[in-house]
Amino acid sequence: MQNLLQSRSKKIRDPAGREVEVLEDSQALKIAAESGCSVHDVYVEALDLGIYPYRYVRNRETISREEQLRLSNARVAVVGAGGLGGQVILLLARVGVGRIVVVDYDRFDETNLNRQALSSQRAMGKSKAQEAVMVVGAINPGVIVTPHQVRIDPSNAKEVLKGSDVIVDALDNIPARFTIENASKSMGIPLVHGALAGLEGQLMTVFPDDPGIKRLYGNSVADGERSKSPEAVLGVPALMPSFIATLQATEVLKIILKRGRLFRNVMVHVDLESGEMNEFTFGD
Amino acid sequence: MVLKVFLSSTLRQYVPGYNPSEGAEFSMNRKTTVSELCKLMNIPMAKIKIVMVNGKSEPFDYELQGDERVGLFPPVGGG
Repeated sequence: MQNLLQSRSKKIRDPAGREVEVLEDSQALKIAAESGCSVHDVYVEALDLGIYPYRYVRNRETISREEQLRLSNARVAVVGAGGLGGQVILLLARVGVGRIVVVDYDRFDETNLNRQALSSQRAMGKSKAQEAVMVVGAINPGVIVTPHQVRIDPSNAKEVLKGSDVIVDALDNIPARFTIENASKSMGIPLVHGALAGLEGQLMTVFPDDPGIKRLYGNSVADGERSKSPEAVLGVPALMPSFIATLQATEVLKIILKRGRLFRNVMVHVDLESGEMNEFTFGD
Repeated sequence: MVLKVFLSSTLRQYVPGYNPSEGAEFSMNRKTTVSELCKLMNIPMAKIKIVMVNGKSEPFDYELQGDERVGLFPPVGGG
């Protein structure tokens, strides 16, 4: 494949005037077909040789070639493909995370259209996990999406989430959030939690030895009366999911690339209405 | 001294006219615990999951001096 990549790539100048060796998708797709491998593998091989898949040229220099390669080799599980998860999946796919595992038992209905990034009139009644495969496939063929159309529970969580570099908690209920946190801790995988109601949202990154989301919800995994929950009462317009999803996807990147400061052991609280983003700490 | 109380999402309904940008002001003439404050403001403690005082998590029996910023949060689980 090395020869194919070198003969079909070309030199261009990026917007900053720097020379870059790139591989356009028309060529990547042909090479994948001719070599009997996936576009994902073509991207990985190209990046390894110093050739940028053309689509990633505008990720430079914020994301270096070595980092782009590391992202291509990463696997991220997103649990919940609704308001938060849909946006997280789209961001990870565009930024170039190579493998995304999508877990959601649900199907799209009309009330999802106000906020869920993967929902569309065309997708009404379709599986959210399966739709993620379609939507991501149309954006970035270099991303392998593995759909799991199951309700996550203690009996299947480890099987579904194993092998992930990071797990994203994009669920819509508290008991299931504890289920995946337990699984992530027992498998030693970092978790990025996000939750919201109305124009407010929260985020916390949990490493296996961190106290985790019991800081936010107490020790009880009981859900209380869901009809009285803030998200039930206040609803969820698209603005907040999109904001928290951006923070979650950025945490994923920072974990994979070992860069920046993570929001561990703190609650990041965002109130879009008052324009405030605050970080709250917890004592021992 | 004037305490600033910030209420999250559904807790705002218990303080009529609450302004999310300003928070609610509360004057104290003696040390008051967070639970006493909640009773005085008619906010049911059962609805509160997290208490933050000056940016740090504290229990309901935490004694307020009167000049703090207090944040009260219900459990938020939507996605």
